[in-house]
Amino acid sequence: MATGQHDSIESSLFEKRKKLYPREVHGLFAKLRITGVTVLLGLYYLLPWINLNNHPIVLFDLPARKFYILHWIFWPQDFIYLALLLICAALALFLFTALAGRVWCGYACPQTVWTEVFLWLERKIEGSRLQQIKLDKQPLSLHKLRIKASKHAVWILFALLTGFTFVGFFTPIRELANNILTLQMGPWETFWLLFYSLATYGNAGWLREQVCMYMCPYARFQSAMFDENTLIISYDAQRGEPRGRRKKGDDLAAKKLGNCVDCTLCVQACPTGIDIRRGLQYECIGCAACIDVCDNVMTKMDYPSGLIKYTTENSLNGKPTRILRGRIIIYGVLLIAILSGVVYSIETRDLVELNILRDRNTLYRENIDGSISNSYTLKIINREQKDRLYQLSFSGIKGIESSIKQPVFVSKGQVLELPLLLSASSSALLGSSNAINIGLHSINDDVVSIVTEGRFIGPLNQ
Amino acid sequence: MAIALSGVIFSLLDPMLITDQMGLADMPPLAVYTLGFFFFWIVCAWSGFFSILFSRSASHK
Repeated sequence: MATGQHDSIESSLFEKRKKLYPREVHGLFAKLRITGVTVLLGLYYLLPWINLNNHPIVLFDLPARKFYILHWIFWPQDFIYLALLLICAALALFLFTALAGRVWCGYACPQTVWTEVFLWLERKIEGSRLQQIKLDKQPLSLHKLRIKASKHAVWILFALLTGFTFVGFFTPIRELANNILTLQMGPWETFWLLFYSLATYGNAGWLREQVCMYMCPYARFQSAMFDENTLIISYDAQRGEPRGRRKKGDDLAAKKLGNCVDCTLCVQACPTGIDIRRGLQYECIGCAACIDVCDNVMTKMDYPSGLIKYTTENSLNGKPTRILRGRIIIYGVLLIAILSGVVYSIETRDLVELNILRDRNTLYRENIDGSISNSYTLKIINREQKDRLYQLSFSGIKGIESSIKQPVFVSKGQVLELPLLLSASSSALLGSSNAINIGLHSINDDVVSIVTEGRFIGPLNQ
Repeated sequence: MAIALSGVIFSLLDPMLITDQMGLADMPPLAVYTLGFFFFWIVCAWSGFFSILFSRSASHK
């Protein structure tokens, strides 16, 4: 990068921030964004309250090292699923970015979603864009203080609700609510509630577009995922220029004007404050607010809509746009394959796991009666959301005796570790290392029945 | 990035084992996860800071 250009970018980082007052927008894409916000925030705030089998439908129980999602329980040893899901998330990001540009940023990113709510609250309390500008220019007065204090109080309340819900994903939310009401919150839960609330209040209330422009790495590497067929928001300069003011019905040819009335509403509506007429810029989050506001102006002026529109570089250059192309097919196939594999693997995994861990200190022990004993630790993992009573069975060596005779109770989601002593007559051993099978069978039904192989060690002279 | 790192490390290592080794057996698991997350966050922030610092030095030569 040239030094001059680098310096100009660097110096822009230290410029005093000019506060933006994004104009309220109505239109097709605004409706889509509001729908996205409602669905995503609805899921966020409601999911921790929904129970399935007397358990929250989503709970990341960190102290117990268990994640509950729908009817599944995930353990640290299921990390592979998390890794695969992260790969799926990355592939989905590549796919949707290659297809539709920054659709994630514009409609689904938490920063966009919460900023949208904070802007809405601000408009409800401070009024429209012009009223907000006017209020900010006023000297400090009781009236201004009251409005500003109300806005921040509402923002803080909403941020606290967000922080509370966030902690509710890690601690059962009903228990958490009860702890708050009885002032019995743990110190770390309190810390995370306040920290997440502060992060929401700071990011969505104060930082807003600066998070996208200076903090988010996605804006910087998105261009690597774009190609000539990627959907971008673009101003049709050929149609719009020369821009200029005019009255409705004026003869554009006589006035030598394009369709752009230079109302600057597209700039006023932009949440990052850019002028889309200067071309594609990394600050553009693809929210399409400029499209909605421009279309409204075009309709009022009796011009065709679409002066600013979703288009592709190929379309702008008069070439056909190809949706199905190599990278889209590869991303799509990989995404579907991995996602299907993950779901299939989770759905068909064993509901119970039995691990046999040999005692490493002693290979075997010779008893007074001449029999041989081996010590083990049995690790039984019950992945079901149901308590289970299991019967253990042992085979592989004739007359093998176990120290565990009674059925074993393992509660839902429990990892039970049991010491086990197996004894066998030395005459029954076929060699120094003998294969044994340890079976685990649910008692009340035949749903669970697994057999795991282990080794029984005896003296070398067998 | 810090969230992903915390996920990887704490899946492989039980935080209670770490605190036991460090003689901090009384520390609650949530505290270990919290401190772990902020540790990774600081590591990532510093790596970003040094990337800017070194790329700046290179471009000014």
